[in-house]
Amino acid sequence: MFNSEKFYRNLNKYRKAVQIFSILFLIAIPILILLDIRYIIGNMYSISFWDLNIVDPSMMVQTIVLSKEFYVPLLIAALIPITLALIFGKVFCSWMCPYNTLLELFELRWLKKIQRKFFNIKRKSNINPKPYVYWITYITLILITLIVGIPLFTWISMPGIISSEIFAAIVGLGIGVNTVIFGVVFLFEVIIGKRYWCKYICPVGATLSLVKTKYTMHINHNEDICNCAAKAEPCGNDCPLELNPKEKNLYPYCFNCGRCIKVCEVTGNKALSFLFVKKNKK
Amino acid sequence: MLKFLLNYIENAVSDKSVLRPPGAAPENEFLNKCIQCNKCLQICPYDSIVAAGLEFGTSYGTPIIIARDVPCYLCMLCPPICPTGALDNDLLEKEKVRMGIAKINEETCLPYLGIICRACFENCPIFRKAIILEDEMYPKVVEKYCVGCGICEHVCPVEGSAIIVKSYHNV
Repeated sequence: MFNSEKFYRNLNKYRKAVQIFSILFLIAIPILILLDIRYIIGNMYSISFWDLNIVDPSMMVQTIVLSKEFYVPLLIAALIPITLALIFGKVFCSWMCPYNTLLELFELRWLKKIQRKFFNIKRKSNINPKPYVYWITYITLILITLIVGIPLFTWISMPGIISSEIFAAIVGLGIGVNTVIFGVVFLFEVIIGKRYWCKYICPVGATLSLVKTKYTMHINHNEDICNCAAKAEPCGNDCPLELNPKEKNLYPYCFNCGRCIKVCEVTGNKALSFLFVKKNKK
Repeated sequence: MLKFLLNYIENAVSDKSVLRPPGAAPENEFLNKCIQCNKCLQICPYDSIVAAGLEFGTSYGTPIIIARDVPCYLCMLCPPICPTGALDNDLLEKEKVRMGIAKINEETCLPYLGIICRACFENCPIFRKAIILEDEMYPKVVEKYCVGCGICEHVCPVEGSAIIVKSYHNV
């Protein structure tokens, strides 16, 4: 039988394992190419396993916007990530994206303390921003792409930049502008510690949260058995995006990393869980 | 200073003379479609394809071929793997490639100066079709057959090369 308690407690371990595997994978690709083994090629923009082609859906959107035509092999290549997002939500961000992995590595306790002192933050309960904030940035990015005619998504897609720079650094092509863009955004995020990029700007995550049905996996909050409501909020405190799993408007922001569920399990409260079908709220 | 910078950017943006991998769409369409996934660059067994640097302006990071360093040997591995159609996926015959057209500079080309040289003629992959010898001496490019692979530019013994491949969509 499926042991949900054990699963949720270990969820973070599985997730970290996949994250480390994903980074090792990005390092392995250029090494294999240096060894002249060219079966698995590509980066986070698009990757090929033998004849199987996978394309980041945000790149598909960009190509359609820029070239104004529907290239069928491209649409087919984007099907696998889209299906994954349809079933599990934005799990690409929380399980595979190297940018998220790096930022989670830099979630240091002493850094948080300094940030809180420096920016004079008093911890209140998190407030979920309204969904339209998310879509406004996404639509703005698409409009800039359309009007100026530049591949903007390519330039600011963090997983893509990181993977292509890993390739360039190992093969010895030299690192360039991409590293500067990544460095600026990354430093800003580590210093501020707010995850604005993942939360509001990133076009990769935004495209993935476009596809969503009521059967998509989401975090469910059972109010009846939640009993640390007024005192503390372990779930919200552990959320990397500073969201509040108890409130509505959790989506499109939440990327289903499951850290809040794990904390909820550990405190002995089982109010949070992953659900595939929406329960009717009273 | 600002004017210089703007000029620099404009030159960089309008620089369309770069060689693209075989099967590339016309420059503007290519830039719209290329997502810089680097797969053409990674599958190339000769490392002919490199990523453009910042001096190419807005097309930095896109795949280019610098023929004088490493030309394209027309193995035709890269066109089928392009995910967005920036390279024509159906292009498999090397004779149908149109990357560029070679131009001979008759002022520096050795045979025109009276020295026997057959480097480009003998190394041309479209042998006896794309480069022919006039009077058994002077090389001539037949534009109808030239694929623009750049092997001639690579093997030319003249400093700076007397035969230079210009992008097909720019001539």
